[in-house]
Amino acid sequence: MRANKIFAGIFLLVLVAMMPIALADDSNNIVDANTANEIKAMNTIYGAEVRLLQLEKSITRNVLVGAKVVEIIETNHPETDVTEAQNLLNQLEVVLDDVKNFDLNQDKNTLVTNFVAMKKEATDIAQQFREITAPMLTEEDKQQAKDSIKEMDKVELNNINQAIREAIRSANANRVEWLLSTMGVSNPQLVQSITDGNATKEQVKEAVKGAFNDLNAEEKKIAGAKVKEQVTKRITAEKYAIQVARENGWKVVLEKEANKLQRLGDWMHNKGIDANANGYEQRAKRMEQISQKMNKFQEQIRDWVSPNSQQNNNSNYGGGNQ
Amino acid sequence: MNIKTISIISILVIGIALFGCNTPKPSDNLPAGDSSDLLNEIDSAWIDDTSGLSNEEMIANDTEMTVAEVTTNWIDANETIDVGEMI
Repeated sequence: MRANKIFAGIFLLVLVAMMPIALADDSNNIVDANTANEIKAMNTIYGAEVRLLQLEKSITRNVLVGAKVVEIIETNHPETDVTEAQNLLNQLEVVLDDVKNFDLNQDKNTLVTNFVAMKKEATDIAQQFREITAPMLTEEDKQQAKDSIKEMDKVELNNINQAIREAIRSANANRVEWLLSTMGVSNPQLVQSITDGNATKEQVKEAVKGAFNDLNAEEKKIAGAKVKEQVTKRITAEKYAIQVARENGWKVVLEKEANKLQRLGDWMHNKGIDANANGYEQRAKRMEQISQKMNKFQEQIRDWVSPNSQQNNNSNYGGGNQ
Repeated sequence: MNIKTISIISILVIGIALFGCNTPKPSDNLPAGDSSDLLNEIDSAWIDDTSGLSNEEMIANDTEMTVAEVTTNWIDANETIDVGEMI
């Protein structure tokens, strides 16, 4: 008996000791190569808007596809329980709302961190949904869903595609305008043609090259030094934003999980009160116990994320997004 | 010039060649971390002041670096963000 207790104690100690390692691994994985590349454009509000719209499009598409998958399962296999898949779909819609209501005027590093956390959350949900529904779908079901997706891409995502196209043009125009002004040059026609979608990347490169070549020797020297300085600043800022996202992104994800647990705990608590009022005392007691466990667990998560901040149960991504 | 003087001059020349010409790159001042892609980008964009380039070559490098900034910052119309498939 005593040996068992010691074993259990050691096991718990090992478990607690491993927790930060597990979390550290998550924090390293939260910014993969693709995400790091996406973050680079978020140095300006125009680039951040593009990334948010692109994320909104991908999640919107997944919500539509997910709803279609659930519909197909319900129609073709009415005996199958789709509750879990539907729950995941609801969670994905909450993430989509967060993306749509995202505050672009946050501090840049917070903005990047929250973007990374939302992308991670959406990716995890898609993976879980795929794993849960895969055994429920036949090859015919999958083909039926894929045919519907093709139509969705054309029709349902048309508005957001248009918004992305315009945001990309604005972001590119803004960056070229910034580059030209760093060189001490102004070319409003070129900037306007990028905004209008009438200039390709190659044409812009040629125009910038021409503008540089048109400078005299002294101006070239000054422009080169200024561009070099700005490139260094830009890269340093990008690197810092990625580091902050790597360190803090998982915290935002865990805070969201804690909020979910708290909501579930509160829901269970209220159900327990109802059960008690209806004379189901044992059931009410069990529900209250589960509710307390959930609340305790979410408090522990908050403690890991940021010690002494159990009162902070705001589910917003950096504020103003819900 | 005696042997001693020649030796001192030789040591100075070798010393300058080994250490004197290497001005610190911006990436040298960045905090350590898993950022090899970014560091490579900085280093490729960086042109050493004492690399022995002629004025024309320096200008050509500056032009190239400036044009490269267009490519680096340009967002292509067909870019997407991958959050995984639902099927």
